[in-house]
Amino acid sequence: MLSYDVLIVGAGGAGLMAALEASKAKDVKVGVLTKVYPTRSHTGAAQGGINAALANFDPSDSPEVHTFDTVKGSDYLGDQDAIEFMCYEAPKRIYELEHLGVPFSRLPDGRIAQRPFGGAGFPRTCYAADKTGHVILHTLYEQCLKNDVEFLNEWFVTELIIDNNEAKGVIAIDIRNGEVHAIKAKAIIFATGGYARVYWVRNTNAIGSTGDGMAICYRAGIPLKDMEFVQFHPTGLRSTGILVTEGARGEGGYLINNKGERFMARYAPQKMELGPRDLVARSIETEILEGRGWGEGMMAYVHLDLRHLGAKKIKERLPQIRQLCIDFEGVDPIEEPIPVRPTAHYSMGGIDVRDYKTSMTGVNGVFAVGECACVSVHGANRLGGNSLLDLVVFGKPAGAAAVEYARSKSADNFNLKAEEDRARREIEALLKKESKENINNIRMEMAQTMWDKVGIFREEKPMLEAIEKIKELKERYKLLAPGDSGKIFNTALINYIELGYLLDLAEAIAVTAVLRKESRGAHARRDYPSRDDENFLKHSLAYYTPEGPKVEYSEVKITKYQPQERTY
Amino acid sequence: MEKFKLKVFRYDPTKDDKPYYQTYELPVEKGMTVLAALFKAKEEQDSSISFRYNCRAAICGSCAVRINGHATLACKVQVKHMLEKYNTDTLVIEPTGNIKPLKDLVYDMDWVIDKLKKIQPWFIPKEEPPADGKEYRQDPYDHHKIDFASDCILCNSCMSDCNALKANKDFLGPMVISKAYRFIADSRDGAKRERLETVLKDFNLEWCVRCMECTTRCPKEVQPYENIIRTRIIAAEEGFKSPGEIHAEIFEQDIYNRGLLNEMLLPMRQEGLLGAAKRAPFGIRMFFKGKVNIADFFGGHKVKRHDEVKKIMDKAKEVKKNIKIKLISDVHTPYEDKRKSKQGG
Repeated sequence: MLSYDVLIVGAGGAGLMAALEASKAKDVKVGVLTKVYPTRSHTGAAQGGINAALANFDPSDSPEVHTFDTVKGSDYLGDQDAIEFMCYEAPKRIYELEHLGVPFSRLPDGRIAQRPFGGAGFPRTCYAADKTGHVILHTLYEQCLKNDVEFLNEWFVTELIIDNNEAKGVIAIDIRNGEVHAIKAKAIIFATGGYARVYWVRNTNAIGSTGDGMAICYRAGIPLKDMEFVQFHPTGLRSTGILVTEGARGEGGYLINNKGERFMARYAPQKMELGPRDLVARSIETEILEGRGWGEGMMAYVHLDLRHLGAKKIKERLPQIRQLCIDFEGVDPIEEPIPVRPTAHYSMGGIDVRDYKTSMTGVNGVFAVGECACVSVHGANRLGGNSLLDLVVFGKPAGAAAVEYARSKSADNFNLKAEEDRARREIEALLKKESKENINNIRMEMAQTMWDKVGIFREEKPMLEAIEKIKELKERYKLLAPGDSGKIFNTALINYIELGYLLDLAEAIAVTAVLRKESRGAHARRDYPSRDDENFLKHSLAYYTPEGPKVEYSEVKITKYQPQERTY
Repeated sequence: MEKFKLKVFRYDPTKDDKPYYQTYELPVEKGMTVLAALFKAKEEQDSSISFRYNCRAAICGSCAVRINGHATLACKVQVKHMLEKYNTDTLVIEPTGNIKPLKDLVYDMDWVIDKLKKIQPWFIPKEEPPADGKEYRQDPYDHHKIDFASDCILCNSCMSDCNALKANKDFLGPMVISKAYRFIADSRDGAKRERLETVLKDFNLEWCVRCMECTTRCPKEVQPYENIIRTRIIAAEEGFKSPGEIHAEIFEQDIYNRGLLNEMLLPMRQEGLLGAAKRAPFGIRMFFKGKVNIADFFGGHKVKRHDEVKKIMDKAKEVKKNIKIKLISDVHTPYEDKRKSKQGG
């Protein structure tokens, strides 16, 4: 049986940072398990940058200002001690990344370049052109290769095994040959990314961002925190959901409805298309809901028209956006308007981390870092440039803490073999199963329900309907079969299990969203339009039960900054 | 609605003796990428098709396949554009070339990672970090040298279509050498010579046949071919005498000293007497065809106005001192443009 002292599940920025740190301990056996090859992880898609108050561009920036910006950005739902820790650690981690070889863009004097980003008081975002996440991911992977970290590439975790509130191991499928294994581990770090795929095609995330680690921990009894908070981006491409950056609107693009109107005049007559993200997203969604878009249901959209800028300006100023539209949408913005619609972007919620210094959850030996975790530093709304930061700042100490924890544990006699045999029988039964139900139907109905009823606009009645619908889909899921009985690279089986994860997470999102009777950050309720600090300045905690999530609440840590109204 | 055929390479080593092709008929939808077509076929017609995917935005590098014989990211190309490009109603989807397929479109990535490890694909600092703990300083120009090379997403499109790799599976291949270049050219890296020795071993730099398939196929404009050439230039600058470098030096000396190449003496100067002796039969045949000037054995003649050739070369050498490695400024020529110009031409 495979056995590790520290097992890391997921090899994006957070997982690799933890692995790199853990691999420094030579007396501890470290393994990294990932369902894709490490460099295929979604961290690579982060373009903009990573925040740290290096004060390279503006000497008056400081970690303190960064802390305040983040607290404010979180709509005061972030834990201030954790945010302060993150912002003060940030410069050290950026320098560490640079020392590991990350090719950051440079200022003329050779220092790391920084640029302004939304919600920040200073140009604080370090970057490498438009591929910051990509170079960080690749650099961390390279350093892991250097440290001879053991990788289990293309393995897929299906269960977390806990006994007596202590981590024992995981059950995983080796995708390459279909074998089901129990993997013994003293400490397990989950770093499996976000859950935006509950909105399936209407999201910016990788196809694999199915919230695996969250659902696995949730089913094993670890609560999920603040699941109702999902960040939406106003402009994703119609077919794929791929992000069209603000640059297109910044250069003077118009948002047009099917009546040919520049509809932003109705919502933000001064700023028009350059209003804040959430306002633009809500405006587009309103146009679509009131029948002034094109297309139906999940595929409805409005136009982002650049044609009036002319071919010369588009080619000069927006070559990447033009290329993106041609490649992914088959539309050349010089000749046609770009079909766009709001799209789910980031999961603020995640596995409930109890101690931000170690990223340990309530279960001994189970840790969570990155987008799959909720510390919480992003609260009700994440600032651009803070997600990559979250990965490296919390990934590192989690790696160290997992090593310490593993050292403190001696081998035990827990019978993991029995769990392995049971899991193998279950998977074998799944492969033999037959069904008339189609996976894509259930997935699209889930996504449509979540988008229409627990999306950008939220209201009690539709959300209650959504909960019922998700319950119905869960019943239908029980009848669904993977549809492929093959042993090797059976991705249909993986997609099948992922859908099960998504359904559990969708339910947790909907239930916590109904119960939060206020509007805060990304959670916008039509029936409760203002923030209610008296009743809801608290984290939601969803606990798994077979009947659906049981929700409790926990305190938000407030240190220096008393909640104020959030205006920009 | 217009339909097209998606002809997919199928192979399951646990079931099939040899690969076969299976064809799925699908509608041509606006905005549909080839990856989306593969998913449509999988979800609606045959859930047993295996292919890799993740970001569907051309940054994770998972989904490289060959479409009608040429490697590309399935997520980055439109079905409609491909059908127009090849003027066909059928897209043949095969796994990347040169690498063993494991199942259907899934190929053996570990083979590539083992190759990568040979060049130590990790940053080895030249010196300790600055005493204040801050960043290594790097001139923006020096950064620019590695900027495009660090765009590589390890998708293997270049490895797939590399003609040298086809002939020699031990060749490191364009992706791996390009990755080596990313570190060799990094002003902060301290293992330049070691890295150069690795890529020079077994004539790896010279195995490149300069067909430029790699640069043509690269979905991220990493320029693997140019990076191989850049690595050769750096190796020469560092004083490494590879056969190619010696060859080029003889050319340069001849042109400078005579204004034309002395082909008679070239093999001897390049490979020594013994090496040249092996080429003797070839030389004799050339002699009887009247291709050999015996006078060349004794130094031969100079071109007319040789002093002017010398002047040009002296000037060129002077200018060269100020030229840094040339970078292509327009790295984002849209695909559409390339396609149109190809059709027009």
